Amino acid sequence: MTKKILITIVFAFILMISLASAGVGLKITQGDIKINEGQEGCITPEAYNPFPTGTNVQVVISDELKDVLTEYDSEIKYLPPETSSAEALPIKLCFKVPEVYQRSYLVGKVIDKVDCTNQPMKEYKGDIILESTPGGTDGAGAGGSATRMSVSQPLVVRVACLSSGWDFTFAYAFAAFLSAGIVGLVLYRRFRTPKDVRLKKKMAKLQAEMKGMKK
Amino acid sequence: MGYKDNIVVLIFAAVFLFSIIMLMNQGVRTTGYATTATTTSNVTISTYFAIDMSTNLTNGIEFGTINSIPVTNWNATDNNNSVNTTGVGGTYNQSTSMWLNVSTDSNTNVDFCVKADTALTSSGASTIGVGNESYANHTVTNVSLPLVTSAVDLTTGYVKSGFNITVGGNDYLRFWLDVPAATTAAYYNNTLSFEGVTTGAGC
Repeated sequence: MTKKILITIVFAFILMISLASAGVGLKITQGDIKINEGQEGCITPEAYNPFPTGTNVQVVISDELKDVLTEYDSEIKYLPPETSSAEALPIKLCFKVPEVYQRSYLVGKVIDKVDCTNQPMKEYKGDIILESTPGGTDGAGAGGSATRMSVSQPLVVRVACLSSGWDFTFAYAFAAFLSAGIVGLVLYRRFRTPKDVRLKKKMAKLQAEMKGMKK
Repeated sequence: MGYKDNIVVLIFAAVFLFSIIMLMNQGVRTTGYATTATTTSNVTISTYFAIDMSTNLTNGIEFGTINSIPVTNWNATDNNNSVNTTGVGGTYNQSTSMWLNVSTDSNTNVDFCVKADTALTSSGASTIGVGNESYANHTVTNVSLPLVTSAVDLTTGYVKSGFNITVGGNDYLRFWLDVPAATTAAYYNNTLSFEGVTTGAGC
């Protein structure tokens, strides 16, 4: 009898596991962002899983946004089971926005300036995607298809233009570096010989001048 | 030498100091002097939805062993093996056990998109073209629904495979496989991706 109950419990447990499924949920409160070009920013979508099995998820962005949200770094996060939308976990996604507005250049591309006049604000539309880890397949016989799922919501990125005059930063840095080098070289040449040798040379020079005066 | 050197040192020291001062000035200019006074109105609008796959869909779409080719519209193993599936007007047997569900903890209806990553491919790089794998979807399921006559070939780009699935609703799926006559005997696999989007949004 005990054995029968035990088998029943084990069977029920296996059935419960086999019926359990993991899901992914995405909560967005920021469907559009505005960021200055050349700057770093972050968005924090929230993930939840109101289903009976935990799962690993990752936030990624769609291909349309990959040119404007560069160097982005997203973490893989474990979503515990039965997480409601009210308990959604924030997943931070940080990125850098490259320089996207037209620039004027001097000296090759060393010195630049940005004039935002007649350059309308650039807008990029794509999706923010929450991906789950892939499922499996037994792949027997003719095989089959593994499955994976994701959820996505639209994200609009507006990149603001910041006008700036000629940026001489590189030129000033170069001038500072060059002048420091020249000053250093001159001082090195002056002080590389010992003081007594320099004084002797100075003395010899003065003596030669005095001889010249006597003549 | 001494006098000339002194002049050179003085000139370039002045250039150095000027450059450093201008560099610091550039930094201040970049940071900006803007001051603003604002008052804000705050409203937070959030959109949220969650989806999951049935257990058999999570386990992958299996087509079993095919001993004789060519075949057309070969049924996936789980196309008709569901028992007591709740549907419109009662419960049904021989319905599909593969579906996508929109959680009741959602505040928007959902469209589903599907794509294959590649053709079904064997370890020896033989392939069954992606268009040979097809699917049909429906919001209810029974012995005939989703209909094989509604089957759509899979592609490697996302296409909508379920429209306006309500909160708490299911998008039932069936899959079929065509195997051409010249196909090499092997195990063939690929990966199908399902994406949930807010109703009306693109895949």
